[in-house]
Amino acid sequence: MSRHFAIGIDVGGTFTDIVLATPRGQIATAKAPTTPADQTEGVLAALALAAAEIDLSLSGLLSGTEQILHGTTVATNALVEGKIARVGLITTEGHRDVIEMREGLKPERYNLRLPPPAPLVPRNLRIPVRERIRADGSIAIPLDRASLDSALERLAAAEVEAVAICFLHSWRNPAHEAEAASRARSRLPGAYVSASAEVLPEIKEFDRFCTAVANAAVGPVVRDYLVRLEQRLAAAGFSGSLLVMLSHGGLADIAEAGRLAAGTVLSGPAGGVAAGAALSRYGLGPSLITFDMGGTSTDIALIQDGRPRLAVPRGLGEARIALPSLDIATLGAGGGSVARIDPSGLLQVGPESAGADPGPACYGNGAGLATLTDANLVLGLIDPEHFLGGRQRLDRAAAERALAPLAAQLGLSLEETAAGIHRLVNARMPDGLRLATVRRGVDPRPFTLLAFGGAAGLHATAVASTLGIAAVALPLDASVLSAWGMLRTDIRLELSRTRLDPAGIEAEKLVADFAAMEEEGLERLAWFDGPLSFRRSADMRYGEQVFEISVPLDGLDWASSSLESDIAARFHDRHEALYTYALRDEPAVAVNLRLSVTGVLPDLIPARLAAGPPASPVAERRIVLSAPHIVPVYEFAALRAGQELSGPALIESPGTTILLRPDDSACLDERGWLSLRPARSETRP
Amino acid sequence: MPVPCRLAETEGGKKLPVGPERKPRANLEPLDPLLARRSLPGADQRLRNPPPPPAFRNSQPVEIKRSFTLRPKQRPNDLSSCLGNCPAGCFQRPRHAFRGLAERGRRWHHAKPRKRGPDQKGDRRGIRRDRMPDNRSTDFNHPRKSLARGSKPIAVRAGACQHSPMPDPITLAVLQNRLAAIAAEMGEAMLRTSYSQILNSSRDFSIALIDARARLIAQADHIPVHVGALPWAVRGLLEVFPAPENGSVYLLNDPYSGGSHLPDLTIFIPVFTGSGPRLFSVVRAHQSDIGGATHGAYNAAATEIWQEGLRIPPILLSERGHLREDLIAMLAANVRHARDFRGDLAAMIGAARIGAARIEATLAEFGAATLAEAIEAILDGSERGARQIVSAWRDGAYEGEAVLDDDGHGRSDIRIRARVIKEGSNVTVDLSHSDPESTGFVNSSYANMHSSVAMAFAFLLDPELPRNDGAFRPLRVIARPGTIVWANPPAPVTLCTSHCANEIVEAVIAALAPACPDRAMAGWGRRFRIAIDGMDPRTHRRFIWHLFQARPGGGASAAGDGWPTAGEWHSAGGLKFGSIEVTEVRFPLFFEQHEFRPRSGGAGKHRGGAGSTLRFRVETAGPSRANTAGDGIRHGARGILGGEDGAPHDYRLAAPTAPPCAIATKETGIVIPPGSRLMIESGGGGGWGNAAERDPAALARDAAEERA
Repeated sequence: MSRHFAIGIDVGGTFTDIVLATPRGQIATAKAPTTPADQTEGVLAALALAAAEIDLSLSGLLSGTEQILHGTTVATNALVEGKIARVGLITTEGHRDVIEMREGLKPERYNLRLPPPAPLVPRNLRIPVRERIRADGSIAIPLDRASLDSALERLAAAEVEAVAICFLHSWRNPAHEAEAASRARSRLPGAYVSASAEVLPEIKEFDRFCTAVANAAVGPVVRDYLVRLEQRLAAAGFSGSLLVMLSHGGLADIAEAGRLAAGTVLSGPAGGVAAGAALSRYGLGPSLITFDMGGTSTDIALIQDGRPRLAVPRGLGEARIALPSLDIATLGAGGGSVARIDPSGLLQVGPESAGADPGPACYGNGAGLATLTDANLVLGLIDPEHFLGGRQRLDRAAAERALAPLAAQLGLSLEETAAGIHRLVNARMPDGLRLATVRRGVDPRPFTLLAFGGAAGLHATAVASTLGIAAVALPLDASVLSAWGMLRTDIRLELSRTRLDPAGIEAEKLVADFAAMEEEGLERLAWFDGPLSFRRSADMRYGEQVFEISVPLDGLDWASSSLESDIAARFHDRHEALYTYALRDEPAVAVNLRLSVTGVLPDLIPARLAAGPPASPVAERRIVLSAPHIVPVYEFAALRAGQELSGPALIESPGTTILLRPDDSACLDERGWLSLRPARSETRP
Repeated sequence: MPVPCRLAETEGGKKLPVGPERKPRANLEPLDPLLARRSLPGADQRLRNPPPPPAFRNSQPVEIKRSFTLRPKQRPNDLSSCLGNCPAGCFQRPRHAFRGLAERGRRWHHAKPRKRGPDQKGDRRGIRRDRMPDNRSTDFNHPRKSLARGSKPIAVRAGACQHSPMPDPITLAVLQNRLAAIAAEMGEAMLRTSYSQILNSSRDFSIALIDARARLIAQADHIPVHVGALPWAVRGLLEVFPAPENGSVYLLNDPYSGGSHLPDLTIFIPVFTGSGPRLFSVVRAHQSDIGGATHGAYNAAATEIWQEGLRIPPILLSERGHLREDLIAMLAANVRHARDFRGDLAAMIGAARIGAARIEATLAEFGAATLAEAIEAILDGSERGARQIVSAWRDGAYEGEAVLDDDGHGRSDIRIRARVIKEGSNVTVDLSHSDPESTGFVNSSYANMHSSVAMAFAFLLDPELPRNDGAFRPLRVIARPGTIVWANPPAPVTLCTSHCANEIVEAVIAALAPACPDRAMAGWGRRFRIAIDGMDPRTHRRFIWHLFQARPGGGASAAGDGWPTAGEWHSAGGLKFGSIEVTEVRFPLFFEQHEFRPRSGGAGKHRGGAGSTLRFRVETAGPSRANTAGDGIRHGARGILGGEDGAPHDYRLAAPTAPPCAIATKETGIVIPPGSRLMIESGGGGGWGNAAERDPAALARDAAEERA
């Protein structure tokens, strides 16, 4: 039997989602509870469900599968929960505290009672070794083997599970790190060894060291998980390729993912962004803002010209990871965000979240925290009988009890208070979104808001209208969108190189550097037999600035004699677009060169929904917005392509409820999403 | 044998004895019997000083009124009517606040509160003279007295204006978040576009939205010592430009016209459209150079402000929507790094413009009346929150003191004394017994003194409480011109945002520690910066490098140990030091060691944060020259409530052919021969509580990790 299935697997916090496809399109989806102790259990269970959907056995499905594309939260959970490996750090003598000095910065400027958090590696496991490389790559102090060996002895005695090797200026000359890594691997054969220049060959020791340490901290658990998953899949009959989604939104084989374990922290959310890029290809337009509003937070990413943006660095718990990753901004507001009265007497929502446990008051778990979900329930926007497709009953009385004290303090009625919480979230989201987009130099108005995640449907049109966004889209597969997106992703390798003493653009050297990086890319993707494509960009700044901006260099004539001024012009234009001005007489400096190598996987044929007679509402319900309304309730799955709806109305699906406000309108697109047109707002961004 | 590492004596004036020795602290003596009786037994106070010097015995301390709220019916339409002739305090200002302006013939009306009959509880403005803590001062308490009394949380409707519709609580919350988001967005733009290392790496800038009554409406958390000072800059601006033009760009730096110190340029763009609240979008940023006798703005030798740099009283930088290129060229011609200066100024104006545009959009979205009323309610809400916190502190009269090492001109142990009276929800800080002003640049400007007290107060409140004008209404400040905390022109003041700002904060917090021991924190480290001016042999270009590494430690608190290498009170973890790798690429320096300095944090139940050990070689072609600016080689950050002081700084220079010699904190023209090593030990934070009570597990960890 030929292998013709492709499977996307997204292991989320609550559910493991599966989307099953053949090259002719999607054929089944499945959901099984995530099993936190060993995520492979949940993956296998979900695969069995998916197989049953198409009347195959698990081994029948797997033996017919060409590719499994996988998003995992193993690294993220390890960092957030602090269940990380015991890491030892080998570092340059005289500089053992780099990761704990934190560049002199402390969060929460006015909170002087905030105690310092414990670093990922305690000071007694940060062991200095005598060696030093200069800024120009020359060796000031040769690597002292005796001091290296005694450091490794100490780490062996401390029974570390992973070793990070971080020497100054290894971005320029990695020889000492390479030697130390090889001795560490032979002295501590079971340990996961991560050298900073192997992980992130860029200048700035704090970012590089922290990334190597984070990589070592999650390396053992990620590597073990991937190996276990591969073995179990093989045992169940799978002989295709297992690819893992990385934080930068591309796929990598499990060897690369195991080596760059810290590069999997956004593995799950990356699927949602990949879905956005795919929908953009399928006709949703080149400019999207993905708006993934879940229980504790809202993830926002930009897709421009059909491509997501990359950014560095990123903090997660105590870890700091400076690997290229999707530029996902997180706002601390979601369905579980807790409403409270702040010390100055004003209503606030979040950033504290009730999470999944105890959850909102209406989950009935007894904590009685008043959350956004409780407010939406009191407003009639959520059906207590059909939450999560009826899997969970909600307790409206508990929600009302939780809101009552806030209402009393504000001097408002229960419904006014609930409406206030709903409205405050609707108002704060655009502020956060604007900050997230403007920080990236983007005017959000011409974008389409791609809404998904459990809480997005109730807030998307209000948020869009405040921002002046005219189009909102809600995909039909919203509840498994990350897995859906993984099926539409390519293999990708992100390479970067810090230039030595850049005095400007230096076009000739730049061309040579890119050529060398392309060689490296070809070599590392030698296992892939499909077509490859390359994208070039440079991180550039004016001479005295410190923050670089990313300037795409595709579409340039690399043989042109005016290459240097062409690149400079792109930089000035970009700076002006981002920050309102450019200094065209000032020299521009290209600091880091970046090359993205893509191994193109065949795309799936997009779905086409059937047209038909418009579906009728399944119920009517009383809801409260600024005033009470009786609104029709539709079932999402029953809608027909081309069907027009107008607000106020509710559209329910097992994963989310969509609110059409008065004067909003919607139409189901045959390509698989609901197109929402928010009522024009009086407000301006 | 004298160490050949200094320039001629003429350069730096008199030299100080330098060295790491610390004077034992003298026995403490109360300032006066009344206060002694009211002090709490066992309080950690340092009342070891003689009464204030005779010269100041008879001079009147001037109280600074810090909040200017009119009843709505009195609110002027036109600001000029309020500026010129309002004795009722709408723009009240102390007599000597900006003597520079007074010298130019502009005088402020000084209010004389009208006396009322003894049966009445207060004067026309609700002033209760019987409540005054000190009969030498006048009291300009806030007219909305109901807030001061009410300790029970009231709905946000409290304090509403009588004749204008009150925004609903939700709109209020939306607007409060919106104003904070505008400030945050301005800060992002500033961070990403500025030119000089001091701004884009070390983030020495601040953002605020301030209204035309000089009230702080919203701010972004950047450098605490800037923020409380910015309203005073707006006042300085309004005095010269009583009716600022909408959208114009204004600039100020003069500390005697509302600024804090010369390197801090402040850009203002007014949004004065229609009848709405009149707001300024304000950006303050520290320049890497501002002219004057030495590079890098800190001139330890200066004895008058003209030696410190270019003074810019409030000026209008734009004309009919365009920047005045001639003026900018004149300013740029007077600083050493014209390119950085222009790049940073462009970034500041860009950020302020973004703020102005967002304010206008907010006005259009919500309407002028709603925004105006929301601002009142937001400020009142913060006031209520602050008063609720303060009410829980133990009432009493407290004293605290902090000591500056020296002024760089031969005078040492300069004392900042804070007498603090906490009564109900009010806190009065009286700094008028501080030592007289000094010859050198450790004097504080007026705005900076005020900001320092506000900063100390903010540190004791809840971090979540919005820091705006309302939050500071419970606070009153009394000070006297001619003292170290409020110098008369033309005294030099450049170091004041570090010193004596740190000492003012420390004196106030140490005083209040017995009143709120769970909120007070031990002393944070002192600033000690070096700027090196030399030639890079690799590029044959001149460079100026500012030391930002070797941060001192933060103070401990009831919540736990102090942050290591997080800096000083005035930046509180907001100043980033640059990458050593980048520094070595850009400058001819070689860093041998940059690590925590063991045993530098003060012992205590909670240990002070560690300072740093920094050793680096200067690999210049020829000799380079260095200036220093800072304090804290004699006195470390103080421990409180039984905790020990942090170790003081110890900076040494080892020239290749000479034994190491100590570097003083206020020197100019230090000659650094090529190949010299600088050996720097920066101070640790103070400890909190008795060391005998430290958790044994924490002690074991300290030992295992070679921290203590």
